[in-house]
Amino acid sequence: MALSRRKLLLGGAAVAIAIPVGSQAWWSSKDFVRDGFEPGLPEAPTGERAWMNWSGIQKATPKILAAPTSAGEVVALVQNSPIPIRPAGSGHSFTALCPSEGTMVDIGAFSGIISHDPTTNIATLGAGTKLQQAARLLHEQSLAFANLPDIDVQTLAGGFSTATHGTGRNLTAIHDYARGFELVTPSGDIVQASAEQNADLFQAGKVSLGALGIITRYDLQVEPAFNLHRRVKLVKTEDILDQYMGLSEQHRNFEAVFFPNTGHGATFTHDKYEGPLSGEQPSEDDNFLQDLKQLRDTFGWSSWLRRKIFAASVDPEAGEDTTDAGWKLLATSRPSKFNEMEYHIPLENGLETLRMVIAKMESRSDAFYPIEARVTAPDDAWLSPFNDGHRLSIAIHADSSENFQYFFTEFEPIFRAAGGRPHWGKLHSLGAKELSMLYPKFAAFNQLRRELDPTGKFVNPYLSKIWGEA
Amino acid sequence: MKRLIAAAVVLLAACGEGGADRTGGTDGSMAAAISPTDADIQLAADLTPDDAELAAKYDRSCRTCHATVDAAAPLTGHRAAWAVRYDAKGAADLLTSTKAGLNAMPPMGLCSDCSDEELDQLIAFMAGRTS
Repeated sequence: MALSRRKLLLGGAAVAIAIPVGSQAWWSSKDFVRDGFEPGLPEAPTGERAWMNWSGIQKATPKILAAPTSAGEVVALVQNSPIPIRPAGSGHSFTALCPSEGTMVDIGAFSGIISHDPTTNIATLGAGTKLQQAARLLHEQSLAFANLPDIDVQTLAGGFSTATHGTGRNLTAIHDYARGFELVTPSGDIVQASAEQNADLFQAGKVSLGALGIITRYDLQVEPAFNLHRRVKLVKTEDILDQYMGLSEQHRNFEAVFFPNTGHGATFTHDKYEGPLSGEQPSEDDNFLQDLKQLRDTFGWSSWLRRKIFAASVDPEAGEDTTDAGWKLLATSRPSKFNEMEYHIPLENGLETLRMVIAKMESRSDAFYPIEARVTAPDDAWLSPFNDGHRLSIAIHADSSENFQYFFTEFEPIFRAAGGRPHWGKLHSLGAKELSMLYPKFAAFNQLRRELDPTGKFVNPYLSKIWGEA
Repeated sequence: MKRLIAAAVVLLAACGEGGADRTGGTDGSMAAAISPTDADIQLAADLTPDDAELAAKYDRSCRTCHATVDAAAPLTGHRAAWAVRYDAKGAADLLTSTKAGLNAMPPMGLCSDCSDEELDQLIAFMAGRTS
C-alpha cells in the first residue's frame, strides 16, 4: 500500500483530529479490536521454533526453522527434514503459504549480487535477497530493476512467487524480470530453468507459491539506474476516478489511493528524470494514517462530518514534488501493520469495480485505511494474474488489530464478479475449483507440481486447498 | 454548518494529539527529543559493522529498516534514539524484544540464523555502543 501523504494535512489542523469528546462518547466507547487478536508469537514446544507472519495472522511452531547457507544444505533439508516443508520468505504473505508444523526454510543467507553480465544486463542474485537490499546493491553498480512494489522487505523468491507488483501501464510485475533460476526440487535435485532449459518449469516457476521446491538463485534482467520525479497530489475522489485511465497512460508509474469517507484521495505519479536531485524527505505517511484513524475514531458515526472535517483540515494545494533515485521513491517500509485483500481486475472492468469498492467501503463507518488502485502490464508466467492482459489491482486494508472478515463477505464477491484474480500472497478464499477456472494453465501447473513433488512434501493445509488435494 | 465544524476542530484541538510517530514511539515529547537529523539519516545509510560476517547479516536483515527513516525503527548510529531504549529496557530486554518481534519488526529481526550473541552485537552496533 502507498498512502503518502506527506504534508497533506496542515499541521495545526491535523492536531485537531484527536481524541473523541462529548457527544461522540458513545462512538468513542467502541472497541475496534477484533475478537481473537493476539499479536504475539505462539508458544513453541520445547525444542521447536515459533514463527508468525508480518501482520500476525499466520503462526506456526515448526519442528525446524532452517537457515541453510548452500544449495547442498538445501538438498539435505528437503531430503531429510520433517514435512511439510515450506519456504518462509520474509513472512509478508497474509495467506497461509508459509506456515508449517514440520520445516520452514529461511533462505536469507542466499543474498546479494553473485554476478552481472554488462552485455546483456542480466544480474544473478541470491533468491533470499530482500528487494530493498537488491535495489540498493544494484544501485551501487549503477543498475536498477525497472520497477518495484511499494513494500520492499520481501525476498526476491517470496515477491516473485506471489506475483508481487508495482504500478505502471507499461511495466510488468517483478517476477517478469526472471531470465532463469536455480531450483532445489522436493526430491533434492538441483535444476536450472530458463526459456531455453526446462522451459515449462521456467514458465511455471516464476510464480509458483514456493510449491515446486526451494529457489536459491535468479538470473534477472536489470537496466541502467535511473532517477524519478515523484508528484503527489490530494484530489477529490470523483476527480481521480474521472482521470484515472488518462493519468495511467500519461505517466511511467501511476497509482491512486482513496481515503474512505473523506471525499478525497491522492494521486502518485513517477516519471523518468534527469537533473539535480532534491532528495527524498522523511515520510509522514504513518502520521497521516494515524490522522485518518483518529478521524474515524472520533467522527466515524457521521460520514458527513468526517468529510467536512477532513476538507477543513487539509490544504487542497498540499502535495509533494520530489526527485531522487528510482528505487528510493518507488518503495518504502510500512511501520503500521495491516491485513490486506487485493484482486487484479481486467482493465475493462477496473474503474466500475473500483467505484463499487469505494462505495462499499464508505458504507462502513469503521473503515479508515486507504483503498489502493494500481495498473500492471501483462506477462506470460503460468500463474501470473496478469498473463491475459492489463489488470487494475484494487487493494483494501484493515489495521492488523481490527476486523477483516468483511473482506470476504462484502468485497470478495464484487472482485470475483468482475473477473478478478486474487493476489497470491493476500487474503482470498479461493480453492482449486475456482482457480482452475481463472487460470488456463492451472491444471498444467498442478500436474508439473505433482511430478516434482509426488508425495506432497511442500503441501501445507492451505496449499492442499489451493491444489485441490484437501 | 461551518460553525459546527469549526467548533469541533477547536474543541478537539484542545485535547491534544495522539498516535504513533516515525520514531516508533507514542510519546510526542520523547519523539521530538530524538527525531533524527539529516546527518543522522545519512549516517544510518552509511554505517556497516566492521566484522564481515556480522556485516553480511546486518546487510540482509537489520539494514532494511534500521537504515531507513520511514521504517520508524531507531536508526543505526542514532545514539540518542537508542539511549532511550537502553534506559527503558536494558540490553537484555532489547535482545528479548528482537527475538520476539516488536512493532513492525518481525521476530529475530529477519535474521533467523543469528545467535543471541550476534543479535547482541548487532544491537550494540546499531546503537553506536561498540568500542
